[in-house]
Amino acid sequence: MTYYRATFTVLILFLLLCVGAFISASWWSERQRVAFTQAAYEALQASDQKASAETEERSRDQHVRPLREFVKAWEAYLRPAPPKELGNHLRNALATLATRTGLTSEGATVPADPRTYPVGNTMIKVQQVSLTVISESLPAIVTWLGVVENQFAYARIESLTLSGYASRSVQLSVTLLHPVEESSPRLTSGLMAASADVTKP
Amino acid sequence: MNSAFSPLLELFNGEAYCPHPADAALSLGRRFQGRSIVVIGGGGTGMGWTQRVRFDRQGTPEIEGHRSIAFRRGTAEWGEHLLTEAKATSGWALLLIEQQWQAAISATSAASLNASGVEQMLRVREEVSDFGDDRMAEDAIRVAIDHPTMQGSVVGGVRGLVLEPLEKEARANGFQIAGIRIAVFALLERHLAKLQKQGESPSCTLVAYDGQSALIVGVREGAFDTCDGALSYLVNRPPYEVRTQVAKRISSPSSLKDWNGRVEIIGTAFSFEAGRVPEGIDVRQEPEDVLLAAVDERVRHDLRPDLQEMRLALPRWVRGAVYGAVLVALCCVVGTAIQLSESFRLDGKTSAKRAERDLNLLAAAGARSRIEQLKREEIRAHHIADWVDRNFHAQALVHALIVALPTEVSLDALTVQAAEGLPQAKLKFTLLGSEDAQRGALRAVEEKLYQLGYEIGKRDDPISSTARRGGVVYAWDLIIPSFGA
Repeated sequence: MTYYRATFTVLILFLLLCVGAFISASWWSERQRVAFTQAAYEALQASDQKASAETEERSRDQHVRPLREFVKAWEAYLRPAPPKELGNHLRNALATLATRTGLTSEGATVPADPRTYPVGNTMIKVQQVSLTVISESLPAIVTWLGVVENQFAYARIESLTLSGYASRSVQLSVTLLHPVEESSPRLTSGLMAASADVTKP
Repeated sequence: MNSAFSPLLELFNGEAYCPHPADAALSLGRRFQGRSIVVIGGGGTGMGWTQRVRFDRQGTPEIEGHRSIAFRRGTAEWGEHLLTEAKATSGWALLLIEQQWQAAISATSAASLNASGVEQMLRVREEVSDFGDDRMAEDAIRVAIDHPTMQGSVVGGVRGLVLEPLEKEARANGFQIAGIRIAVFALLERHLAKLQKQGESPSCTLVAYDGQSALIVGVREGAFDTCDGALSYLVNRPPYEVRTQVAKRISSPSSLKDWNGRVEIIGTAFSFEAGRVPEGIDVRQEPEDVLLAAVDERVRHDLRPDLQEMRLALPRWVRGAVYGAVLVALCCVVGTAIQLSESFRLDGKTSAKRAERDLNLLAAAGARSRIEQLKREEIRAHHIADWVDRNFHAQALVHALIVALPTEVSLDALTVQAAEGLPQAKLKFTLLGSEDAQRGALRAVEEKLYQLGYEIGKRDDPISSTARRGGVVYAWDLIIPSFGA
């Protein structure tokens, strides 16, 4: 036995090495199997999430499409701009239109900050502009009002007060609200262009 | 193969489970079961001979073929013959010494060395004082033959310078040496062992004779006779002289007296001159084949100069265990390869699944992002729609009211105040005129409002009157028509 001791030692070590390698490989393989099962499950879940999200997206897109068309029709009137810039623009535009119609305008006010206004179940920011126009001609005033409403279709006349109808000097005080939209350079430049159109003689 | 891999190789080719062919502790029969060896011998004339001996499965020897005697030692023909014999057999040889040996009697028994097998043989060689003799050469390699119940040993020796060329010659021609034995000592050892097995001791003088040489061992009163001249040997002489001298020595008056006239001749059949046994001697012969005696299982003595302890044969069950272990290792290696292959395959599939998951998650995130965008778009659209829906056309309202008023009344003031966040407005107007005219005007205004789609939610008619100018103030709550946005 002594003669073969080293050989047996090497054989036993080799056997242990083989058994160890097999156990390690089996353990690793099992780990890979678990990892694959997990990955397959996660991939399936992700696939479900993707399918679900895409279905919802399609559904919402179909739902939003008519709304988008509606918004598109109104896009030209939204006039996105910073609140103060929007307020000044409205004030100037109203005054210019009044002058062009032959009216006298006075008392134009634009608050420094926009106010909040309830729409549905939420609050939006609106810029308020107040102005009084005076004229001897009621039709001129009504015409001005129509032009203003046409020019700023998205604006809302919050209040108007017509007085002096029976006298020679008719006054119309108007308070206009215009929602403040988030602006972008393109839209701001669009607003400037629209402003230029209004101020043209 | 003599390398570090030899033990490993022996485990698999089966050699490890068989005795080592050079193990002097075992008989030739056990060492070469089922195989043949070649006995190489030679006479004093310088001629050599070979004889194949085959051992069956039980280790019993049998002579195979005819003895080849036609070669002078050291010639090319002898070398070629040895080479052929080595290739035809197991390649192991037993060198049988017939000449140039020496003998002595020792008062020490080899059995008293308290050792066995190879260790005993090596100690005999080392302890020259006990197993030596002045007449024996200093370089002689010695063996001791004895009987356990007898005192002393018969010591045989061959000089190293005699053994070396014999051994070298055999090795040079493809043989490995299984043992070196002296023919007459083999006869003696076998005879003593046979007696021991039968529970007997030598009772008379023994003469071992192999046809070439003879050894005469005196036995007195159940013990080896250690007196001077009790042991004699005849070697390196012509055969006839050996026979003559043997007859002379065993029949001498002193010998007859000492040995009680009884002699036992073992080995080759001994023929006395003229076929007559000397008078006064009781001669008993046990003819035996010298060659078979040399390979007999009871003969163990060995003169190899490089004699050493050899490994023992492993038990048979170890072979099964080794093959079992190798099978387990092989299964483990194959299993490991399969598992690794499976692991790499799964790893690849896992990576693919993870990539698929990531892509799906990205797509889902993209879709969700677009959903959020759509939600924001929807909310904005609803805000715009709600805002637009709660609006009203002020010019149309004012114009319609003015136009609707009959000429009997005049409008002094008109206020429209939209309610915050509601689709309604408070209409307040002041009319001047007679009461009947105002009633008619109110109806006309009411009709006009209905025509425009307004509804009147609440009416306070009148809420006040301006006495100074005769005007009456009216305040109505109008519900603004929806634009259907």
